[in-house]
Amino acid sequence: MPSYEATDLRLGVVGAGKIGTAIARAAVAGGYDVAISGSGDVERIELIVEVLAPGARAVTTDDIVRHGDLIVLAVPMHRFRELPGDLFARHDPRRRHELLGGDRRP
Amino acid sequence: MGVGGSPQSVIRAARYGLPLMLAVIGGPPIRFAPLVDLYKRALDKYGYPQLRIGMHSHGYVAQTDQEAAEIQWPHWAHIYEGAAAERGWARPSMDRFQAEIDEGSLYLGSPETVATKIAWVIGLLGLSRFDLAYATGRVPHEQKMATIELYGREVIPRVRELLAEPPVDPASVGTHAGAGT
Repeated sequence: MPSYEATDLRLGVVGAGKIGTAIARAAVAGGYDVAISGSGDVERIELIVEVLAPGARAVTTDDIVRHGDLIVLAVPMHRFRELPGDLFARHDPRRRHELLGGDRRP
Repeated sequence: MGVGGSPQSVIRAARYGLPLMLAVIGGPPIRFAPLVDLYKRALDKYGYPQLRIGMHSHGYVAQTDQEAAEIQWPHWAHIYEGAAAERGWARPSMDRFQAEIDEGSLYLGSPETVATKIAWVIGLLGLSRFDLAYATGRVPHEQKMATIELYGREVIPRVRELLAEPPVDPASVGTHAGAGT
């Protein structure tokens, strides 16, 4: 797993779809240290991240929660329930997380 | 396999070794270039040869750019009013309509304007097929027939002619209002 020693603001994006990859790409361009996760294994999103958000790291959602200073949930509304209920129990409460609703269509 | 911009859908098409059809209904088509790249890389990864890529976008053809815009605008606005209410999008405006014509995903105008833009996007994304979803909304039957006729008789032959020549960026073709930037 890559080191998270950077002192800059670390952005974590949960969701490697249309919105998540667009945010990751813009954040990399803005100089953020960006990690992104999808559902399932990291291997499943590696190519997507490499091509659509080069410079961002593909990691697990657990890593995002542990290490992100700012977290964006770019997950479709109908799939929010698939996120673990205690997801943010692992998150340092001094850090912030922002909720972003994805596409509302089923 | 038709995809609307989700990278997972593009990967799925490649995993099944199926040709790709991009549905592009708004915004600059260049935004889909990374997905085309993703598709090609994924085909390599799954051990398939490169396959055909097509695209679908909306448009309308009339004798002149102005006539095409005047006929299409109220029907386009009506459709996007509904979509705005349903999906939480911004309400349609004339500015946005014009932006879609100038640099977005409406292939609208005279046969020359539309052919120039189609030939450009084919070159831009390396497409082997372009589907025109002609006449957005409830454009009257006669006007739909007119656009089909112009598309078949004038636009398609002109696109083939343009593709036989070196590619042209519509932004550099200042005389066609529907294809500038």
